Amino acid sequence: MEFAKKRVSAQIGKRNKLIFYTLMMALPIIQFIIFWIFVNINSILLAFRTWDFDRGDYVWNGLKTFGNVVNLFKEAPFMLSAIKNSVIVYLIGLVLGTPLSLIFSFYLYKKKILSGLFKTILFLPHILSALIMVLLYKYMVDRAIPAVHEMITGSAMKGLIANTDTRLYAILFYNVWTGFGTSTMMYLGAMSGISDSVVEAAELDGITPLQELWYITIPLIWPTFTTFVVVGFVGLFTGQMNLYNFYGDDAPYALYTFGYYLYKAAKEAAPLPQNYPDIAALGLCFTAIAAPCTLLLRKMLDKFGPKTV
Amino acid sequence: MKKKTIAFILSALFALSAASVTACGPAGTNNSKIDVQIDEDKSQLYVANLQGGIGYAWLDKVIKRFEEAYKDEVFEEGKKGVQIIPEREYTVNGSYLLLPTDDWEVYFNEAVTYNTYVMKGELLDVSDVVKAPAKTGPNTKESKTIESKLSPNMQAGLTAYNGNYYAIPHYEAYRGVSYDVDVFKDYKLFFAADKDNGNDGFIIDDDDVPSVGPNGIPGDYDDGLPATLEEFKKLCNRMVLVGVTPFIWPGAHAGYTEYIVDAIECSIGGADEASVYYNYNSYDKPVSVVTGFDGDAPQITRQTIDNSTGYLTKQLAGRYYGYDMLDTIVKNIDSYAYSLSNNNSTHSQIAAQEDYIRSDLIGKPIGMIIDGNYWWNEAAPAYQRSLTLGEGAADRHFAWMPMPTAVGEADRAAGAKEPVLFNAMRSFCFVNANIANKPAKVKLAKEFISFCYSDESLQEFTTTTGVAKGLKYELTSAQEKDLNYYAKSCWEMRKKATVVSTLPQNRMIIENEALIGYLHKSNFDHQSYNTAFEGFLAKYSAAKYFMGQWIDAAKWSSDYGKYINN
Repeated sequence: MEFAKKRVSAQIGKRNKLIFYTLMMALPIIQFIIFWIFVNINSILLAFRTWDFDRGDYVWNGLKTFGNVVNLFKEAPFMLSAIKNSVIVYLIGLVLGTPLSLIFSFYLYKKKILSGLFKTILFLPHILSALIMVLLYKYMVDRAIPAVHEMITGSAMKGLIANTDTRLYAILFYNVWTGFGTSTMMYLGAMSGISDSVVEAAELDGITPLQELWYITIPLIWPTFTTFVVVGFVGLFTGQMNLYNFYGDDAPYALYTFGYYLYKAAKEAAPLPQNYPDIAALGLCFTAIAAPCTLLLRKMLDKFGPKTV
Repeated sequence: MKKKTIAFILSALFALSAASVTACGPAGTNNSKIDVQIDEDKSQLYVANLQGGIGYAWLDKVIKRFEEAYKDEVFEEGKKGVQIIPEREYTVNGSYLLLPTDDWEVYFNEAVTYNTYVMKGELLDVSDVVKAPAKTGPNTKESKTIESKLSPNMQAGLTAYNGNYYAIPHYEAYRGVSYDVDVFKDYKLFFAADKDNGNDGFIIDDDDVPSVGPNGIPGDYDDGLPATLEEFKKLCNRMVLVGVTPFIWPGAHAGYTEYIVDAIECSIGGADEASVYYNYNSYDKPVSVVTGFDGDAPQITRQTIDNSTGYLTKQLAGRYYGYDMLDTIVKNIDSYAYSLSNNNSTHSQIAAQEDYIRSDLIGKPIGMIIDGNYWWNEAAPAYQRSLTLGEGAADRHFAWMPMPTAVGEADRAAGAKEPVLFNAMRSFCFVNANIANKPAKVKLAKEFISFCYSDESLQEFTTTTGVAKGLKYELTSAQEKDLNYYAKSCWEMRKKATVVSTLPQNRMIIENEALIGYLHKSNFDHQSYNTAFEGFLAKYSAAKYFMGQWIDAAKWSSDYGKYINN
């Protein structure tokens, strides 16, 4: 009797676990099916089709749509800017943002002066919506800074975004500034996982903070570092440098990135079925470039990165 | 126990999210956007209206009259009378409507990509409504058809896809310039009839006879305004001289500066030329085409444009002169424009309107604003706020500014052209095709839109909003008198003007909408600009920017060959 009760109880427990698991997994799986599998399959198929105005439907078009992509690269006025800006954003993030994040994370990790306050300040931009942050930033650089400049020097100056010579740098600064918090927090999280005994042993051996960062910390958080670098590389084709938040649909060509163009093109294509195939083909071309490069980059980072064992 | 609690919370959250999805969906009686009580004894019609610069007051009025007129009508068995339910928070742009899954039944919207929706079969065929007289009640109608109120161009554009009507024009929105009449009067900025009056041609006293203005007719709405581009530039310089800032526009949206380009290309080129921009075809009417430049002077020929020479659309002379004017403004931007108009990312169109309204009241007058004719409606809250700024704040006189119709005195002698207004907003009324299988709904929707296009409803729309509907109709003298000063100036101008629509009639354009998607981008010297303002800020000339838009003839033939000789 007791055994039967235990068995029923175990079955109920198993069933409840199954319900719990199903509920936990249902939403992400549905989301994955709709927004990843379905969208991507549809997008791949669209790249080989064209809109037939007489039939009011898509028809197979072979590889002709990819010819339009080649023309887009040859003729679209913003492509040069898009290539240049997308690379600049990635490189600035990699060369400037990443080392700064690492150093700052290390500072916070070592719990130096005001590290708690800095942590809060750094994460503050992520509490506010990106649109509000952009609005605040625009007022800061296009109103406050010129006003302060005029107060001090007596001469007028254009805002940093209003001025066509400085706007790219102003927007790049915003991106580094607001992106800084996320990467710093992630690195800090990884650093917190480093065993205290390892650090203490090194300190007993007389290691300097710089040596600790270079020989212990970075090798031990290398997987996190690798993830950021690889994800950043993928962002080369998708990152829009917050341009939509700054300009909406009206960003100047000189500031275009691939990500902004793709986002805007997809948005504007929404009611026009004839526009989708070109964008789908462009996306596929980007994937064809990005996917092997990403895998290669990952492999290289794994191969040439520091070894911890 | 802990697991059970977590499972319960997760289940509740999951159920809640599913419920939320349901609640956000269709616009039925459970729709959160509707704040009216559904009357089950009446037939309902759901009407979506984009607030924009037009608002809801006009819709409330027409609904009230319609419900009263049809209170005893039976559209569905067991129900008597009609309840129209207007949507009040609908801010979705007309370009991105998901009509098949939307339960709104009648729409008044803008930026509608008409032919795309038609092509997808998402708009209900309303040809029977358009080709019949407008209804004024269940058993009464007007004598003339709604179709007869449409201009020939609008008729051709609406039926271009397959000969049927799927929409009726909603309001007309013009892009261009408005001016502060009080500033022009106070600072003597009107041109005098006597050009050699010793005051550089500007009036000296208020009772001086003003010049005849752009339309060449004395004693009407445009007297004293610049008739040529030369005079327009002279006016700007005069303004600076007397302490008036000539222009304001929203610094955050450089594209607004192209409103003045559009307005000038229409006024200089005339209606036939302006229509070409949206058809790439002049339909056998000769237009002025720039073939090159001799120094700064454009070399112009008159010729027709058809599908085979559609690329010449990018060489129309009117546009060059528009760029020339904008170039002059940008090259003198520090004195010609309000400081925040110079690319300031924080200066929105609402801010520009408020700064403009306040400018004269705070002793820093601005002469003209570059915006659409709906700006005065949008600026209503700003006007209310300005009332605290002292004497004269309530009694303001702004007016639509007719653009010069000639470049210089020499070609003015050829005769003044009639004014042209550029209806840019693609604003339409249409019925969702997803009600096609509900005969009662279709009948009700068609009765309602027909009612909305009776003369009485059209007049009511204009007297309420100050904006014209895109059809031919008159206002009574009493109605005209009741319009506010700005609306009156727009209406008066519209009565004399030809209104050019952006709706293409040419199949080539219908199938290649990108050709008319954005018309001001330019590519030259390995530089590319999406607004002329940017190009001119970078010190490029109007001619350079203009030529950067030209299309190569061979490429045109290669890209659009299938439409040539068809």
